[in-house]
Parts: sequence; structure tokens; C-alpha cells
Amino acid sequence: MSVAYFDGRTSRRRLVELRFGDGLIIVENGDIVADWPFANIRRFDAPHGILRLGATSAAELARLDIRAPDQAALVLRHCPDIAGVGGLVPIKLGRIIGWSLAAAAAIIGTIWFGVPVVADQLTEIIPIAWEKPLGQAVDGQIRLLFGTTACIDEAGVAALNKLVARLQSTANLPIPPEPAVLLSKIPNAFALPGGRIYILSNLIGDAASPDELAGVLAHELGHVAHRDGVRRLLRDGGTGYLLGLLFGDVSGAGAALVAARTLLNSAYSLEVETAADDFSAMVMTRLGRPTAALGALLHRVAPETDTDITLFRDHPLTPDRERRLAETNAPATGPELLSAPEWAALRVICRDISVNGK
Amino acid sequence: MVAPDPNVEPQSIVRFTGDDGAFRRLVTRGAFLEIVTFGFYRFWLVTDIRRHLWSNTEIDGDAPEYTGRGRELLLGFLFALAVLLPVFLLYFLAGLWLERFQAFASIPLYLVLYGFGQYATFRARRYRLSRTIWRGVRFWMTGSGWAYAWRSLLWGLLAMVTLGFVYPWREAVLERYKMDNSFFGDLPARFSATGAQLFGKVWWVWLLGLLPPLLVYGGLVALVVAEKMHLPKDDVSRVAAVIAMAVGGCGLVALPFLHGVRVARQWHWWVSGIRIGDAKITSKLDGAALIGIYWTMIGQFVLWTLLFGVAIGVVTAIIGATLGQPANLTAAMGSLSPWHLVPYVVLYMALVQTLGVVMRIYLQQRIWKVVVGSCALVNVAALANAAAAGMPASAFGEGLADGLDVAGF
Ligand SMILES: [Zn+2]
Repeated sequence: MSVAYFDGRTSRRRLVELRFGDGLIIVENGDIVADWPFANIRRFDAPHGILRLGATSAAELARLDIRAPDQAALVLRHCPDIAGVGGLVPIKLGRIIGWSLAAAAAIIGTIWFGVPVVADQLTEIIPIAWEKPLGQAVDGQIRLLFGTTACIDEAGVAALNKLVARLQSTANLPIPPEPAVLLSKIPNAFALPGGRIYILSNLIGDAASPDELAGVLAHELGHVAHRDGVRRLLRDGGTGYLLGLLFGDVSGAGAALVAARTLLNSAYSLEVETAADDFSAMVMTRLGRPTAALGALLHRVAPETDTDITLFRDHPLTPDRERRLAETNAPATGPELLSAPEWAALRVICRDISVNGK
Repeated sequence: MVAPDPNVEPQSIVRFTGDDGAFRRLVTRGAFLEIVTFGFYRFWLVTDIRRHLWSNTEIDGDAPEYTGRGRELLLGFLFALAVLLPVFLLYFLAGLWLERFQAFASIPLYLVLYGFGQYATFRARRYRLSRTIWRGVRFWMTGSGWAYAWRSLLWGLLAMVTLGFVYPWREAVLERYKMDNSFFGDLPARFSATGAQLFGKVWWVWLLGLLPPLLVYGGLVALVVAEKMHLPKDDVSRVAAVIAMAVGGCGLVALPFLHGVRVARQWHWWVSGIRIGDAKITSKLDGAALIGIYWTMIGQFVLWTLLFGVAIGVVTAIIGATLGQPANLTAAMGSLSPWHLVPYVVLYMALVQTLGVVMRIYLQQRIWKVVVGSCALVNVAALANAAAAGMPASAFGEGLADGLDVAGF
């Protein structure tokens, strides 16, 4: 039965016979062409039924293909280190699993504990001036999502600006707010990095009094004051970054983590929302207006919004939040925030609209 | 014994000796280990798959050997990560900067990432080839990953502009660049198939593939025009447009099958173009066999997805039953705990891994088996005395391809 020998220097297939001495002696046409010490012989990949050998002392790719089973068994009995270093070292599955779990734990830990902390720290460091470009970047996408139709009725805009100016006068904001109303059927409001505050027109329609709208606006001013937009952007970006890089192509594990991350988000959101509520309550109290108006408005729009999960998550009105706002509530002592004509003008702010900023 | 016919070039057998069951067990076990290791096992699984395919392919009586190792792939991946991290960050910042001017204006930056992906594809091929040993001699590769990426990018843009017309020429140019830079020991390889040959094989598939989207789009445009011209609801042009859209919509379903036809024909074109020294490969690839593999795979995909859909329905019903009758959706959402997500996540991961197993079996092993089985080596004597040359290439490209999630060979 033939043994094929490849010397690792050329691709010539040489038919050889094997002799056993101190090592495996490879003989071609009666001449010794190689002598492999048994301790140096290693096994390599071969099809079923072929024993393929190499030797650490021979050329790196020198190979010996032995086809006869009994001869293969005989050679194997002589070689003490057939799976040693330099050959096909069997993989240590336990070690791979152990290190994988450690690495995964480290990544999850970084996302869970590290990213929020880093996002908070970075938010402190990032100059206010940088918020503007960040906000503008987000702005374009928000406008694509919620429509590009802005409500610009002159009297309505004047009333809105007056309302925000009154609120702002008692709040110490790091950046001047820029309120704007977008035409939308969804009742919602949100603050972007850089001070931009969007009120979706249906929220104004749902508001029963200037106080209710003022409560929501003050809540959004709270987000601006706390720089929540930047913080959220940094946190989501950082988390997505880590997940995308490490688990990009193993979607199963990635999805599990994304699910966990969403939970983390809403938990974090509630804390942030409560802080913005407190800010709203503080502003309204200073102006001598009722703090519970915000709760009343959110309560009214909540059943409508829960069909749109992502928006609903932005302002999850829990019984706790509502109770908290009610606790600080007091009868109005300050003057009305808007006169009746001003409030009427604000309610029809979408009488005049601009599409795409034109 | 029959005397060799001097008019027929001597052909040597190329065949696949592997066992379907062994491969299925290999990838199924690998899928489990991938879940257990959060995906890190993929480096070793990919290595084992290649070792299986290489060592079970017999070329003129001798099987090649894959000498790559999982640990190399892991290191390549980590190294690629270290390079990708700042690139992604720059990409993100640049995107942010451009977004200021217009929303989503940063889309052209995807081209940069595409270029990186093509670079990775080239370098990954180089890694694989340089881990391929036959008869004690290494295959290896020279050439520049960036030169390749440029060619791919420009030809890709051209293919997009021409709705895929120049695709065959793009494939030929790219394959020629890769193959012309490949060697078996000191024997240079080259790619002799041309774009025109590929075009001749796939032009009708291309045209047929264009038809459904054109019908849908054309029907839509016709409807919009009819609306603008205030044509009556039962006008013949409206009816024709709706019929065109319906036919086109049905045609869209056939696209994956057409894809199978295209791939089969391209495989045949590809293997027949390979030249190593004076040796060449001929292929009697049966298109029907490859298409059968594709269709079986698509069928399995549909089957497994349906099965998991049923499982998700059952889980939802059980969770719904345990929750009782909540007053409304908000109340229902409120009474859900994070633990209710667990069965869904488990089912999703199981589905992803199952589809992964199916894909590896059909797209890798079965296609390999059919393609290899169809080949014969002509003038193997030309390969009999190649001198060893070339060095193993780094796994950086493999890591990059992994990090960027690009496939290609
Ligand atoms: Zn809020």
C-alpha cells in the first residue's frame, strides 16, 4: 500500500515506503529521503481514511499521507506527541466558553454601568456651544419623522414666545430655548439638544388652559436645563456603538441585549422625567400658577398616545408622577400667563403654516 | 486499459468525499456553542467548517489542507476592532457635521464603509488562500486591498447607474484582479473568463429580474398620472396599471428563485475561468442541481420561520392567559414584567441560529459539494513541480470583514 510523501519544497508527489528506526525513516527507491524523530511527528487534517503527518523538525509543510489502516495504526503507536504544539492542537472548549462569558460580562457591564456614567460625564464636559450642531443634526431627522409643516401664525407665535419668555424669566437656562409648533395629529412635545423645543399642534388643541400648556413647556425647559437631550444622545449612541461593533453579526445575542437596553432606557427615562416635572413645578410655583395642570394635560392625552409606543415612552405619565405634581399644587396667586386673546391666538397658530421652512 | 486519446487533454478527478451528516452535526453543534459563547465561538466554527470542506475535497487523489486557526481569526477581529473604532467614531462625527446641512445628507459616507468592506473582502480572500496547502505547497496572494476596493467601488457605482447591466464586467474585473495576484507556490494563477461570457450566461436572468420592479413602478406612475388627469375610476388605463402592478408584485416573489439561477450560472463561469500555471479547471456544473439547493434552502427558511411564528403565537397565548383580562392596552403593558421577554428572546435566538445552520448547510457545504463534484482538472502535470513560495497572510482582513459584517470570498 502506497505512502505519498510531499517534502514541503515542491509539489512533487513521491511514493515512498516507511521504516522504523529511532524515528520514522522515509525511503524513496531505496534511498533515505527523510528521518523524522517520533517525538516530532504531528498529525494534520486529512480526509477520512488517510493519516496525514508532518514533523516539527522537517519543512513546515512537509506531509506524509498514509492510506493503509494497519500501517497508520502502527505509526501512531510510535508517536508520543501526535497532537502536540506545532500540529493540530485540540481546541480547549472550556477555555473558549469561559473567556467568552467573561468578555460578554465585561461588555454588558460597560453598557449597563459604564455608558450612563460616561454619558453623564461627557454631558458635563461638552460645551454648550456644541449642543447646537448636535441639535441641528437631530432636528433634520425629527422633521422628517414628524412632518416639515411648521405653524407660523404671527399672533400665535407671539403668544407662544411670550409664554416661553415668562417661564424662562424664572428659570436659569444654559441656552435660550427656541420653541416651535409642528402640525401633527399626535399630541406630544419634546426638547432637542441645543434648546429647540417642539410642540406638536394637537397638544395645543388638547390643552384646556394656558397653565396646562405652560406646564408642559416648563417640563421641556427642564430637559433643556438638565441637558437631557445630549445625555440621551450620548448614551444611546455609545450603547449602539458597543453592541453594533461586537455583536453586529450575531443578531441573536445582540437582540437580547437591545431588549435589555430598552428596559434600561425607560427606567432611566422615568428618573429624568421626574426631574423635569420637578423643574416644571418649580417654575410654575415661582410664577404663582398651579403645578397640577401639567399632570391634567398628560393624563388627558395619554390614552391617545399609547398607540404610539415610542412617543408614549418619551413622557410616561405614571400615577407616581401625577401624585407628585398634585402635592406641590396650590391655588393660583400670580397673574394669568396669557390673556384670553393671546391664548385664543395660540390655539389657532396653525392657521398659517410653512412647509419646509418656506 | 484504454490508450489515452491524444486529442483529449488528460483530465484528473476533483471530488468531494465529505459526509452530509458529519457537516450537519458540525454546524449544529457550532450553533449551540455560538449561543453559549455570545457568538465568540464563530471564529472556531468558521475554521472547523473550512477544515472540513478543504480536507474532504480530493484533487487528483490528494486533499488540500486548511491551516488557519480560530485563534488567528479572534486576534484578527480584535485588531480590526481597534482600527474600526476610531474610523466609526470619525464616521459618526463626520455624519453629524454633514447632517447639519441637510438631514440624511451623510448617506454618501456609506461609500467609505463600502470601500472598507471591499478592502476586507480582498484581504480575507488572501488569508484563506494563504492557509490553503496542497501537496505540501502553499497558495498565496499579492496585490493591494485598496486597489481592489477602488475598482469595486467605481464598477459598483457604474453597475448601479446602469441598473446592473455592467455587473458581469464588474465581476470579471474584480475576479481577474484577485486571481491574477494569486499563486500556487511559484506558479502564477490567472482568471481567463470574461465579462462578455458572463453576460451571455445571465443576461436573460437580469432582464427577467428587472421586469417585476419595473411593472410595479410603472403601474404606480400610471396610476398617479391617471389621478392627475382626473380619468374615470373604470378607465382602461387604470385597470391596466393595477393589473401590471399585480403581475409585478407576483413577479417579486420569484426574484429569490431567479437569484438562484444567476448564482448557478455564475459559479460555472467562475470555476471555468480559473488557470493555475498551464493547468485549468473544466466544469460540467448542472445548473438545475444548484438551483435545487437554493430552492430547498428558501423552502426550509419559510418552514422554520412559520414554525417559530407558531411558537411565538403559543407563547403569547400562554402569557395572555396568565395575565387574565386586563382592562386595556395600557393596563396590559403595565402588568408585563421584563421576564416576559425571555421566551421571545430565546425563540428569536433559536430561529436566528436555526436559519444560520440551514444557510451553512446549503450555501456552503451543498454548493461546495455540487461545484467541486462538477469539476475536473485539465493538465494536472503542470502542477506537479511547483516550488514552495509565499507566506501566510494576517487575519486582519477576516476580522475587518467580520466587524463590518460583509460576506464575500
Ligand atoms: Zn419629558
